Amino acid sequence: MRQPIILIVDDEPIVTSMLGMILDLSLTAKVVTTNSSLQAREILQQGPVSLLITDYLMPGLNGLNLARSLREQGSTIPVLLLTGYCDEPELAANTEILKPFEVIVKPWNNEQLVQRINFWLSTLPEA
Amino acid sequence: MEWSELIHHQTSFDPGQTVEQVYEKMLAMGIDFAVAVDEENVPVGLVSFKMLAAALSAKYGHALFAKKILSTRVPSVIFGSLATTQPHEQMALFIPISRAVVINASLDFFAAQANLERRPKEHSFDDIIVTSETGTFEGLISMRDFMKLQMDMLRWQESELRQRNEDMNRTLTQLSQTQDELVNSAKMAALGELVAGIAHEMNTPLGVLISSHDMIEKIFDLLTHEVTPERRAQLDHYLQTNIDLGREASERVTQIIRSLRTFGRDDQQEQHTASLADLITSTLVLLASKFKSSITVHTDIVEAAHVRCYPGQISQVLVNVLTNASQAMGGKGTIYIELQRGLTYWELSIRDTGPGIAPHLLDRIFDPGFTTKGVGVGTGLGLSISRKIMEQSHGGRITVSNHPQGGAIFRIEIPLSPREQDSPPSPRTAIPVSSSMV
Repeated sequence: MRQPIILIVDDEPIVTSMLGMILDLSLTAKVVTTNSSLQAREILQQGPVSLLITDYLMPGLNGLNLARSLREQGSTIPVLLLTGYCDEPELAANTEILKPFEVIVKPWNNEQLVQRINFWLSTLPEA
Repeated sequence: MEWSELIHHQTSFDPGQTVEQVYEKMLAMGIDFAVAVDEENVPVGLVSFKMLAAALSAKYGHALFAKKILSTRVPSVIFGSLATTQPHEQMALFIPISRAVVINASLDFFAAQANLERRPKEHSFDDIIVTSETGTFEGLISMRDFMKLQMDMLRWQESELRQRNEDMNRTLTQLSQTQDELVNSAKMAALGELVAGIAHEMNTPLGVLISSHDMIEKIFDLLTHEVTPERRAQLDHYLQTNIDLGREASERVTQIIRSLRTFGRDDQQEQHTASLADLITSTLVLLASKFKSSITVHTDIVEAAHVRCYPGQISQVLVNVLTNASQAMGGKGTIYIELQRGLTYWELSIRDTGPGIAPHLLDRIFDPGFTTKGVGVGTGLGLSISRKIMEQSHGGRITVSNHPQGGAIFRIEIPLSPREQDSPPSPRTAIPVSSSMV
């Protein structure tokens, strides 16, 4: 099986550093992080990302819009929205379009987070 | 008590009676004054017992006047200065109605009192004749009773006035309480709007904090097993990173809590010394998530600017003005915050890159209830409360105008503390802080 690539997007460097470390110690996946949602969009356009973990509230492009742009490209990779706050109506309006999609609320629990990521990685088709 | 209850009724007689008859009647009744009435019961004059007594007890008085009828004129010398200052004038033994004090029984006390003030001067202390509306005799009121009533009325008026004064003071206190409550409830409303964003701001560092704790535990666990030197170096590095991230996250949480405390503080009791620069920073912390997605904030603050103020209220004004700026720009744009020292004021200007304010609305923007936002967006109280806070609580000002380069600019002036007014402003050596987000 090809090593999966996880993209983590959060404008807060403390979050991307922490998540990068957690996943590095818990998974065999390759982890890419960025603090800019616009840069994340470019990475998604270029590379073979297997799973997207994104914050909601970010300058420029919010997490939901980033995920939407991904779906508009035809990608069906799982998206995890990891957020402390989200505009509820906006979330409700997007849930169907964004599937496979899950919301994980900050503050997160490391073990559960890893478990959810493992679950989504297990749903990926064998390469 | 009705003032007309003071009237004595049994005090009239026929003017055809003799001096002696009237004198004896009045002596028997023990009255000082009596009224002569004609056949239609209309008063024709007032008789004073004192005058009759003076006439009868004068030398040959009884012989001369006892059998005369009351309208007889007698030389005024008999009555001395009591009756007249003209020594040779002939006086009737009773005071003609034209010179007596007559009031109408149907008048209320205050009208009667006004009538009384127009009474003939020389009979100030005679009894008052009371007539009906048609002019017939009703009775007499003694001047003493009337004066006593007048005194009671004055006291009553005074106590009424005092009562009204107290009511007014109570209303005033209630009003200022209501105003304070209004300021507080507007603050709570603003806080309510901020809560979701603040929760987000807190959850991010909290997530990191909790994670770092778990991670440190996990790394220690891994270190107890056999590991390669490379792995060990990596784990050591992770350990240090976790400690650093944990520290940074706790500092972030602390800063948010400190900002919340400044904003939420109920500091109406007394003023404190606070730094305007710190207040601006902490307000921006509260608004961070609201502004994060598409508002850039440039700050140009060179001094800490310590002022005596109610810090919670100043934060409230800053939240109001900054929220207003963000809403005016539709949530997208740039806000410029500048703090400068004037001669007697700190001047804080907050400029946005929105559409500005229509000239005819510039005067109304601080009116209570004024809002251009849709229903449910704003209370329309934020800016009026901000003005109250700046002017009444701080002796400062808040004004608004349109910036020549577009957008609205709010200017907030806060008086320098007396100590700062004496010392010259420090030179602008510090490098202006210009950041996208504090």
